[in-house]
Amino acid sequence: MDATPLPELSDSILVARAKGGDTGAFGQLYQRYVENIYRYLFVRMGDTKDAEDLAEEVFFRSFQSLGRYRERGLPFSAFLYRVAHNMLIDYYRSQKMNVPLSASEPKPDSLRPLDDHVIRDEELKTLRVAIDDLPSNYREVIILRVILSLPTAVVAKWMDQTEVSTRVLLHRALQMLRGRVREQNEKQI
Amino acid sequence: MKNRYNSRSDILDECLRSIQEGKATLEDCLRAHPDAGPELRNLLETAVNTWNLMAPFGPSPEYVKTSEARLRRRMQAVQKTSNAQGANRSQSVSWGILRAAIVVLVMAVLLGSGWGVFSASAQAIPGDALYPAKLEFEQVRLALSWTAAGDVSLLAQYSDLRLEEIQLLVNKNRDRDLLEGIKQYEGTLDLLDVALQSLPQTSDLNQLQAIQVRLSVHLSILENLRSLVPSSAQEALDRVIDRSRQSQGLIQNLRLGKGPVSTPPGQQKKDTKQISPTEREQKEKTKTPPGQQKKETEKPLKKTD
Repeated sequence: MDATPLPELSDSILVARAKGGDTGAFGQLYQRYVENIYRYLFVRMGDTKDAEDLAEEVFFRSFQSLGRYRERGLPFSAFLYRVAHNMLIDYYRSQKMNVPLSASEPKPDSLRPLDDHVIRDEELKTLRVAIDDLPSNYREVIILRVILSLPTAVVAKWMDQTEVSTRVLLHRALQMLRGRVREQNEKQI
Repeated sequence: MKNRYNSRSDILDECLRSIQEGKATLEDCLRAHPDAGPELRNLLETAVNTWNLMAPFGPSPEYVKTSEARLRRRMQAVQKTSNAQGANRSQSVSWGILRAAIVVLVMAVLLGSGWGVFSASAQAIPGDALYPAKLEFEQVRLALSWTAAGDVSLLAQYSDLRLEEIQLLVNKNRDRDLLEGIKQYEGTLDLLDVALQSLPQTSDLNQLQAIQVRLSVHLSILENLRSLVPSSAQEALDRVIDRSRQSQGLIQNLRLGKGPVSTPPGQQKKDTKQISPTEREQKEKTKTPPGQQKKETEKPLKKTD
């Protein structure tokens, strides 16, 4: 007979255990969220190695700051996202430049393959420039909801918004992105 | 009551979700919402195109495994430091009993079948099957160390070992494992920094000086390796050279009684040469604590409608 799998512990329980010094509990939180945090950093940095290094630092810093984390409606994943967001800003500052999304080109093999297996480089460049050009909250909602395809409920929590306003934000962000892409294309012609 | 704008946003979001989950195509969505007009098509095309072009893969399973192991070691080092700082007498007594129990247990394991693995793993380098066992044995030795000075001494030895491993990997042309070797060296320096910062004020200056000398030897070895490593490892090597300099700077400050420079490992690896320790301290003071938005840089993600 198969052993019944143990129910997954909630984030709250794991966080409480990690606060009590259980590094294994924090390890489970790491397993749960490393993919989303890494992919978010990768989209912003465009380099596998840098995204890997910073992802690890995000979790290490979060562990060190765990004592300051109070749940109160803020899910642990949103806390991680904010640490990642702040560390990205620090990273760019430490480089003494504002590295835009378009400054680092991701290797095509680290992007999800297209159905027709053709990487449209020019189109990708245009898109990255257009996303850079968006206001920061529009850029974030495009990255989180569209590129990372996170559920709206998660994006709303991460961005500290209601779900309704997140949908409206996405709508407006896509309208502006479409306009910016068109402008970029016209410039190229 | 929902206004028209909200309902269009709901339709857009719902359609995008269905497409991303593979439950519908763009055309299915348009057929289901004939009143939504060409705008829905335009926005969905933009979203789907962006998703198709930019959605990245997740991290490799190998990275997740090694990174988690490294993270755990770093967390344990932090805990050890805070335990050492905050422990009261009764805690010390119970910790002492626990350590004694660990000593007995480890002796029993080493005298048993573990001894063979222990001796065989001593020569292992990154990429070898026994290398994780070597690291585990080192962690056990570290756990058995009674004082912060003991930790520092062990971690300094481990940093020597990590450097030797890098040299061996270069000599054996094991380029694929070299990056992991460099990462391990970097991780050991992180732990060494944490241990150094937990040393009491009255710590032995000779020990600090000896480690500083050791690290300057490391630096010259690493710089010599520059011309030998493949281009794929060049960036990592440069970073670790900066990292080694940081540790030396930390020791220098401790020797001069200035206290540690609170630099999170890996955070300022690329600009170490450009700013002075004082500037760095000021920079650290002005950092926003994690969990709070940097309002001056990026607007808070608040209501926009």
